[in-house]
Amino acid sequence: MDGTARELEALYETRYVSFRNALATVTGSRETARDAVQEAFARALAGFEGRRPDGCLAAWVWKIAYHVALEQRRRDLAFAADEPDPHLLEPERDPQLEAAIRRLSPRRRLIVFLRYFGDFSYAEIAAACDVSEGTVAAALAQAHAELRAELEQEGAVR
Amino acid sequence: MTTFETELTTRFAALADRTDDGNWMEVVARARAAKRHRRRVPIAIAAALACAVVIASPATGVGGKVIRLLGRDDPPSQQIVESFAEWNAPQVKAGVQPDRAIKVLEARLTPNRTTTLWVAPTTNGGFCTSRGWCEGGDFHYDRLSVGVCLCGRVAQNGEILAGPVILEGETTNERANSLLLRFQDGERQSIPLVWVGAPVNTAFFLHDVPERHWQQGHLPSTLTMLASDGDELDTQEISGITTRGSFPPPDQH
Repeated sequence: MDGTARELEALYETRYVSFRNALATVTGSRETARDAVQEAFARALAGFEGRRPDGCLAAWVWKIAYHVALEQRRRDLAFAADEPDPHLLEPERDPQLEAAIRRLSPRRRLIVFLRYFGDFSYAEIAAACDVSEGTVAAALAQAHAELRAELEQEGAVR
Repeated sequence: MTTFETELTTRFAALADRTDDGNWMEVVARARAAKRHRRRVPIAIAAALACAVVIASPATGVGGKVIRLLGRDDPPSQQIVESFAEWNAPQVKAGVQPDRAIKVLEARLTPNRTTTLWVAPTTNGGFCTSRGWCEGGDFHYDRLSVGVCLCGRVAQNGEILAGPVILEGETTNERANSLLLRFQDGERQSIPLVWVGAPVNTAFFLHDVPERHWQQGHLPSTLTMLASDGDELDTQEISGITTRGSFPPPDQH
């Protein structure tokens, strides 16, 4: 097993669950997210993506998984170009948080999910989303402010 | 981390599913099943029933070959163009020419559903396919390239829970005319090859493996590439279609 394969296996062992949980907000189900994450690691392992960037391994695999998930979604739902709408899988478990999250833009929502479900660092989110770390910091700061305002309005900040 | 971020962390953690249903051996098996230089995208399509069929729209027959020529068909739909355009994203830069995409063949899944193979040329003389892989302008492979897509759902033990299971691939061998798929139980099926003319110059196939052939003893065993005179040009063993027990339980890997 070469170095990249070992790194991939280590990444898988430590981050599989968080990848799946973050991606499930995009695919709408844990099962389809599982399949996309499995496929993404397999493609990375098979060397199809020989263009692995020098930077973040987690962000690279996430991009592959996200692309796979979008392809699945496009074919399942028979539509092509609209943006995914990341959302909590079981909103009834925290309806106030769900309502607050819903008010964020889809892109900002995804960054929040990457941060809190995917355990992504700011640098990983930046690499995964092709933006600067500063942009991620700003987006998260704004998301936090929006979420806090919404939750306080609902009296749901604990 | 602020107090609010800590609260968010706690609330998201409470919603997170901690079930670890990952299986690295399955990843390894998938990586092996996918073929060589492919960049595959799984396609989730409904249950599979039948075999690949050559589409009925215009094609040129030369020496028994089914040949499709770029620029001779109706232009691709906007959806197809946009799909191919994704290969030109900054992180990929495949140089694909989406407007020149050509419909090559269809696999019929149910009486009412099909999946279609589209191919678009690239600026470097290669091509990309709608099944999720690209080849460069130097692509030349006179043997038969075969990939397996477990495109539906696979249990952690390897059992295929839902199809389709698709065999797909290509060759540049100019003598190639058709394929013969043999199964472990002795059954045989003929699969058409469809050639795409210059600058692609490659023959493609797409075959949906019927559900009755997802079990040990009935699996596809070999795929043979035949010339028009019946010569066997190449034979590839089919591996990668998993069955119950193909993967060890997660706690054993």
